Amino acid sequence: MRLKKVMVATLATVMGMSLLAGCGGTEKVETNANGEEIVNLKWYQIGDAQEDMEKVEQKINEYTKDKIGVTIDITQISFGDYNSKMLVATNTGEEFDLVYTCSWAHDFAQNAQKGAFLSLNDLLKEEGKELYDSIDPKFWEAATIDGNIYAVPSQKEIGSMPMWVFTKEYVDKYNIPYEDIHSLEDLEPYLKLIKEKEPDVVPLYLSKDFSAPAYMDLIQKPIGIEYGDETLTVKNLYETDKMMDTLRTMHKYYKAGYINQDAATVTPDNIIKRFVSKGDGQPYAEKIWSKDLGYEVVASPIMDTVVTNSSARGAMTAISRTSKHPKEAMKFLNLVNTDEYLRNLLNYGIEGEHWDKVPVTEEEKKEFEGKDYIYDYKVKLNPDNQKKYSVPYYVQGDMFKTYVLDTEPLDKWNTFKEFNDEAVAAPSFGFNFDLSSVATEVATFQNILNEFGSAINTGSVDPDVYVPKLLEKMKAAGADKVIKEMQKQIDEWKANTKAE
Amino acid sequence: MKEKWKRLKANKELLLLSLPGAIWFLLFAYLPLPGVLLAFKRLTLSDGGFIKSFMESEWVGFDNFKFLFSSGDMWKVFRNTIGYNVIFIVLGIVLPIIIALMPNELRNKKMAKIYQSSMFLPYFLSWVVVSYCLYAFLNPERGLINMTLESLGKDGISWYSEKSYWPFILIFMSQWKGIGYNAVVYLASICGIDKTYYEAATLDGASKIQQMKYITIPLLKPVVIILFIMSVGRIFSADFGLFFQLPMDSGALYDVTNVLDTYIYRALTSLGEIGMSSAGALFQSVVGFIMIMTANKIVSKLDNESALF
Repeated sequence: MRLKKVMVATLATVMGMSLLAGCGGTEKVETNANGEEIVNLKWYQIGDAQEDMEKVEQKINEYTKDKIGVTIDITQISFGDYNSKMLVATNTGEEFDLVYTCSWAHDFAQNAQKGAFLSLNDLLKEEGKELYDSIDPKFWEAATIDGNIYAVPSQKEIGSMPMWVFTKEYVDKYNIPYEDIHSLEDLEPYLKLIKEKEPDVVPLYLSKDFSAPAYMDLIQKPIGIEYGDETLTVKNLYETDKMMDTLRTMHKYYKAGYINQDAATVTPDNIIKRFVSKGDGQPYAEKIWSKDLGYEVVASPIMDTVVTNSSARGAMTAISRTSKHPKEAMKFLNLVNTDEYLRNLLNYGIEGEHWDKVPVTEEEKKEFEGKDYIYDYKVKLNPDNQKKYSVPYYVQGDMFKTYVLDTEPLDKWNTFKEFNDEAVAAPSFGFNFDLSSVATEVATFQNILNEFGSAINTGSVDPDVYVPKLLEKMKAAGADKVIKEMQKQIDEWKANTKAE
Repeated sequence: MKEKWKRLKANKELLLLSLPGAIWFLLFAYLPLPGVLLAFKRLTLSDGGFIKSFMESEWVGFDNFKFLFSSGDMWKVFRNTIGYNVIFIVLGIVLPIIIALMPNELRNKKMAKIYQSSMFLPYFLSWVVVSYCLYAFLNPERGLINMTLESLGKDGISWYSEKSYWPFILIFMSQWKGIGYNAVVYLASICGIDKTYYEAATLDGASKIQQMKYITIPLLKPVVIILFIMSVGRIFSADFGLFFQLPMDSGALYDVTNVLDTYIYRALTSLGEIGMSSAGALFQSVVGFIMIMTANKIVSKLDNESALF
């Protein structure tokens, strides 16, 4: 009997100790100049950890402490780890307040449907009115699921804009009218020309992540609704004629030697000399690419810009359901997205250290008079210190509220706004697929897509042989059930939205 | 009761020694055991933390296991997992023993140490690092092997899309990495063999080979069997890094590189269904448990002394 007692006592001690370790210290209550209690918020962001983050945080806290009684504790998690780390944090019910979510990392729709985020409808009315009014309603529409807004979108380009990216050197040399090149077929004569005249250059450079231009909203890859299909018929991308034509053309190019032979297996390599490749664009994207690649490129859109859920959910910040301070979190988000000083501090770091203000001349300002999002300053990055604080700009909030870089046009954000206003919404925009009843089937898709996707998309294999193989495997995995379920849900959605 | 206490007292040093291990197992193996039930639930979040969400989630029976069997590729995945593991188990016993025996016979003890350490080194490299070292050899355009082939006037091979080479590459690399570590285990037990056996054998005029055959190997048998039974328990789990990182996740190679661990990883990373990943792990553990019990049973039938339990 005594042995049992000893065991119980040991167990109790061990468990007690682990409990204590889990809890950490107790919170200190601090107040600011206005006598408000200061609340510390925990914010998870995607991106590599920055050396000077603590310094910037200090600056932020100095400012927000007195302004709204909030301090912030930012944790950055690298791109590769973000999904898995946030999955664990969410499922184990960890306490945090703000979290980055989007269509391509820590999936917004899945987590919102699972109940990981707080509904912001009331909070926005009370604490975030200014913020709500400052963002394009289309973004709010994308952030809404079943009538609840679950995240605050970062305002940026709203549509997806796949582009051909041409190396300027060859465009100039052969006088190629790149602005008239849009479809895959338009490329052919120039690929041929480059192949003949420039043996050292890959005419069309692709890597394993390449996806052939698809004119379709892939709601659950590869299943979705074709652009412009108002009847909302759910299809498998690889069963559409348009995609098959595209893939046949890709294979033709591959066989003609226009495409690098290792396309299906390589990761992008900037050293490889190429004439054209594909990129996900936005206004002024060629400037970013030129900087990344180290030589000048020009770009031309492949298709009209289309707004889909996934494109409009490119970057958002949600409030976690485990947050103890949702009100303060909303207050903070409101300030981040409306306060010029705070927004630039978060984006570029400390003025005078990581960047310097460059006043905009009166002439330049006059030139853009009457346009939106024009500021009095531009940003000159400090080349030495900038490396210590360089965050992905879209992560933290509205990009239109930041100063533009001194190398960019002053009306950059106005151009973005015009671009967003012109973008056409896909017929399926606003529809959310609840995959819980077909999770088993969807789980098997990824293996199949990974197995065939790269080879088929890069044209490395004959689509008339391999697409049927892929489809057969997908059928065996229950693709028809997923299509049926999605069709059912989208029909209901259509009936409901049309009735309103 | 009293007797038990006495026994406890008599063995208190040994018990104390086992305490850290016992606590570790208690905390990390037994305490989380109820989490196994996650495999039978669809986790939905509710206020009040993980335990509460867990309690309130709906039971879904064996639904979470379905994804393991619903794909037409499953037999290939099982074949790869078991096939590679059987090869690894056999080679993992044979090669390290040979490696362990060799330095034991070396005269120059300093050289033996160097030899041993350099064999051990790859074990500490992560598969990601190894995968890029391999890439330097196999890169289709600028890799060492293709450059050599081309300079000899032959065509290069696109290694990352030719599946026929990969079984050999995977087996070779896994042995290259693990051999040193396994050899150390055998080396330790060889060192533990009483030297007088060898002295007696030398006096009787036994050659080195005969000593190996009649002394070293028979005395190694229990260790071999223990390691064998333990590795049989992991026959349904594969080394993720080996099968995922080394082939650079190339789709064209899935026929020979997709194993249970990589299959589950690919299926669930985008989905984030914690219930389904638990189901996958539980399945591997249960099969592993059955395999261990069977292997042990068979061993105890053949040679009761050597069985694990």
